[in-house]
Amino acid sequence: MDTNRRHADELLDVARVLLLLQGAVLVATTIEALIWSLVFPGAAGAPFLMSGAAAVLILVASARVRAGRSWSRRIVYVVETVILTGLVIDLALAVAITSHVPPIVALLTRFVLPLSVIGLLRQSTRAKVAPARVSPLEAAP
Amino acid sequence: MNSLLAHVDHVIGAAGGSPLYLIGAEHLAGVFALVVLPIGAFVIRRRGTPDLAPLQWLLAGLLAASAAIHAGLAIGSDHGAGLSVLFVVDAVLLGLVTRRVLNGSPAGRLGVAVLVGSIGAYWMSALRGEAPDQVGLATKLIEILALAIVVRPAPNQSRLRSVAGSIAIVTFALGTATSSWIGAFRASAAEPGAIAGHHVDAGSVAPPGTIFPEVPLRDATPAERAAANNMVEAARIALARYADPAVAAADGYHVTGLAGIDFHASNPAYEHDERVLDPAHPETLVYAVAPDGRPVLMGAMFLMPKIGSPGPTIGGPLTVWHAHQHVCFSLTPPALAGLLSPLGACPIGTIDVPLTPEMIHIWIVPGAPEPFGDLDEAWKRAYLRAIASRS
Repeated sequence: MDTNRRHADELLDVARVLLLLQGAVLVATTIEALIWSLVFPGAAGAPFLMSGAAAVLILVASARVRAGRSWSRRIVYVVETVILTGLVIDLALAVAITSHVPPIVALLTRFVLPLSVIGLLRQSTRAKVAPARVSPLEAAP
Repeated sequence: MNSLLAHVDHVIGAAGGSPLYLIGAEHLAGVFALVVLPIGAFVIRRRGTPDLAPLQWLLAGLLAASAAIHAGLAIGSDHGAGLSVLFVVDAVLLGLVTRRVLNGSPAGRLGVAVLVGSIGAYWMSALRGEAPDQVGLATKLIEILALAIVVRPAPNQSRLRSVAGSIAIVTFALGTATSSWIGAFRASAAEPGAIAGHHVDAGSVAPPGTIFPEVPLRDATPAERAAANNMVEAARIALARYADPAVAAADGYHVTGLAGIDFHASNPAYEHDERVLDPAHPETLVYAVAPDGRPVLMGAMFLMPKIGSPGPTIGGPLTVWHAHQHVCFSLTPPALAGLLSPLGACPIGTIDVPLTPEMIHIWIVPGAPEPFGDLDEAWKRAYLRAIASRS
């Protein structure tokens, strides 16, 4: 069981680091929204608040996500789903309008990162609850 | 459809869009160099896989990727031997740290120094006006992620150190975004004789968010000059009635909240009426508010009905249309919300509009230094002050 627990913790370590990077990107996006709001009225209000809230939630999750804390996972799943949904809309628009996919960095930060985090959190949960594989020698009385 | 795609390719290509959202040709070698990674992984597997935690594997992969990209950039760089040598040094140092990690040792201070140095060098380059592109930005994100792993505190270390590490990573991401914006805008302004807002000559770098079609490097012919002048005169006569915003509102222009010196009042009904460059039916009117509070009609913006349709350049190089790319558009409520970040995201709750229809401004105010394109900000303010002082 200890091996599984260790593996689950190792996967969570990776997820935490990815969440930290994602939180940092969201902080940058929030500050950009604040600056753009001086030029474009649409950046103020909901986009600024939602980006800021997502940044805080992801940064808190990067520090707090643990094997036994389901609330932190749920928060991450919700934020990642919102980000992925946004990317799907942008991807559809980009392909329909320009026949190009969005820029590589957008795919990295809004597709690879969220999907990796979700995958790692799910794997870590599975690794934790999976029964430990015991070798026949260890099982022998 | 084919002509539309051809035009989209035309305006998205290196001649039209900002390098911020593209892969620079000289950086392609960096991307191709990534093929050494699977080869390296195969060799490591043959020699016997080291017993590393997943986080250490990720760190080794990130360091190796950055080393490979830098090695490729050294080959592809056309900025002289000095920069190529620096890329090689960076690649070698990153390779050394990768080897250290693969041997089971911590990246240590060497790892921190190499990664911070590499990110810092990128900032310096961008701040000096080197146009950032997608390869550079992706590489910096890889390095920031690697740095996040390297500075991550051990389980027995204090929470303070963990917070300090997180603040450092956020700072590096912010610094990368900021320097990239500055680099992208400086690169567009630095091109000789190139861009003043919406004006462009062939071979220049577009500012982020704007796309220019290629412009012929020649003077306008007398016929083109006459056509351009006739267009401005026709617009002046046809739009005189909209000097009163109430008349514009009655015709369907959105003048509510008129403020500032560059207020665009759009008319959705005219955006889809298939009329092109009709001086009597511009898709958008542009107002400015004078210091005494009086709204002044400055000109109009004409919009092509479809994305990808090139605007008619009736005045040749005098009448250059432009489009916008990667504009963030808020849905709550519908409004412009900025440009796509160098880190790849629009604010949450907004969508990334990859390309807009082409558009052109025509300024009808008497004495405007440029009747098409951008109206000089200082001239505009002086004009408005003069209007206010006359009343």
